[in-house]
Parts: sequence; C-alpha cells; structure tokens
Amino acid sequence: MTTAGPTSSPPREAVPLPLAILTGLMLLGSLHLIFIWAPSESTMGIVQRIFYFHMPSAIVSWVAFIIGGVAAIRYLSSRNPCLDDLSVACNEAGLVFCVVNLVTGMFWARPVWGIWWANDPRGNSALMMAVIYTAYLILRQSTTEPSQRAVVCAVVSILGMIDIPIVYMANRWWRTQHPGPVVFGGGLDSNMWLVLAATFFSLLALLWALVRARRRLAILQRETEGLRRMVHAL
Amino acid sequence: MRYEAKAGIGRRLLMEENLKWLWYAFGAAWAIHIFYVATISSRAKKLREQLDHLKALLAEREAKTDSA
Repeated sequence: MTTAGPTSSPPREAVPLPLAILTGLMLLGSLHLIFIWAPSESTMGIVQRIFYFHMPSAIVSWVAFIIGGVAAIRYLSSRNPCLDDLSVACNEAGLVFCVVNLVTGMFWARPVWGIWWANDPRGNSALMMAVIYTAYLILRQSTTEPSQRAVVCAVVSILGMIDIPIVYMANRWWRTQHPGPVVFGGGLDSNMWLVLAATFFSLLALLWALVRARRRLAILQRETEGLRRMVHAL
Repeated sequence: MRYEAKAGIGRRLLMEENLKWLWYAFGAAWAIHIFYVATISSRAKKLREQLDHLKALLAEREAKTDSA
C-alpha cells in the first residue's frame, strides 16, 4: 500500500520575500528590545536577559508540536499526505526550538546556579520531549514505506504531545530548581512582559518560515519517492 | 572608600562574567537556527537534483518502451 499521489505541488519559493523580511525585522526588533531596552533584573543582572529567548523558545516549540500533533490526528482520519508533510515540518522545526530552549537554559544555569544541568523535573521533562521528537525523526528515516511511515510517525507525534502539559506543570507538581510560575504568576515587570511578548511573536514568525521551508522539502521528498517507484515499475 | 572601590571592581567583573554567558547563550541559539536553515537548503538542493535525474531516467525509459 502506498500513499495517495501528491495533492499539492511544492511552493515556488520556500519562504516568500515579504515573510522573510517581516521575520528578519521582527527578530532584529526583539534583539534591540532584549539588549538595549529591557530593564536589568535586580538579582541576576544582565544574564537574566537569556530568559527572553529561553522561555519563548519553549512555548514556540510547544505550539509547533501541538500543530504537528493535530495534523497527525487529522492525517490518521483522512490519510491526506499533505497533513503528514505539515506534521513532520512542525515537529522538526519544534525540535529545533526545543533544543534552543535546552541550550540557552544550560548557559543560564551555569552562572546563576553554578551547574550546567539541575536534574530537576522541568529540565528533565523538557529533555524527554527533545528525545521523543528525535526518536520521531529517526523513526521517519528508518521506515521506507510511505504510508506505514506516516501512520507510525503520526502515533509518535500524538504521544509526544502528552509531554507538553507535563513540562508546563512540572514546577507546580514537583519541587524544582526552576522558579515557580513567573510569567502568569504576576512576577514580571510590565516592560519585561512587553519584551517577552515581542520575542515570542518574532520567534513565532520564524517558526512559520521554518515550517514553510520544511514542508516544501517534505513535498519534494514525496514527489521523488513517487517518481522512483514509477522508474522501478517501468 | 577602598572597600567601595573593591566592591565596584567586583561588580564590574561579575557583569563581564555574566555578559560572557549571555553572548554564549545567544550565539548558540542563533548557531542552531542557522545550522538548521543550512541543512534544509542543502537537503532541498539534493532532492531537486534527484528529482531531475529521475525525470530524465523516466523519459528515457518511456522512450525505450515506446520504440519497442
């Protein structure tokens, strides 16, 4: 059994110029806000500015994984390969943001806590999320039959979403090195809120651009596989 | 007075130390994103080459089948 033929052709350009320019401007604007405009935190000082990239990266990765998971659910009911393309694009781009979140967290933990890795539930569950989606990509590479690959990966993608509420609630459910709820707990200055929101929306635009580019790649891959089957059949 | 001066130097050193970690974090974040964009573009290039090759192969085989 094979997947249905491609129902959409790859977009002519991966990222349209207006989207690329808008994303670039938004990212530059958020960097200006982070480094020049945002007030320094009184206890940690300048290193606290890592927060403006660390936390939005985590939320953007969750957004990507949720879109990827919903696309996977819809794929299982419709078997439309375009939804599988969207799912893999979101999950792969989401993994990139998840890794950025982990790496920036380590560079923040080293000067503030004196350790690279706190081994606390929040960090460990976020690491688990990165492991799940890395396994998803490895599974995708190792399964050659397209429809089987799409079904297996859709199941993993749906299971991966379960980790999102665990990561979010980790500092409420368990004692962690991470502080309690800061953003929605009322512990953030209004100027800091503004910088956080601006960075979040600029990273969301970056996610959009990355998903578009990765989705085009998935469509190209599907076309190549279809053509290869035709060549072998002749 | 001397104590305050020492404290000032300490604060400056701490600030420089913290700035170093801030640059590392932002550098790493951008390096990861740039690396990912580079892998997407190289994979797309490779796929396009494969696609062109397969299209040529398919046309060739179809021509052979027609002539036979």
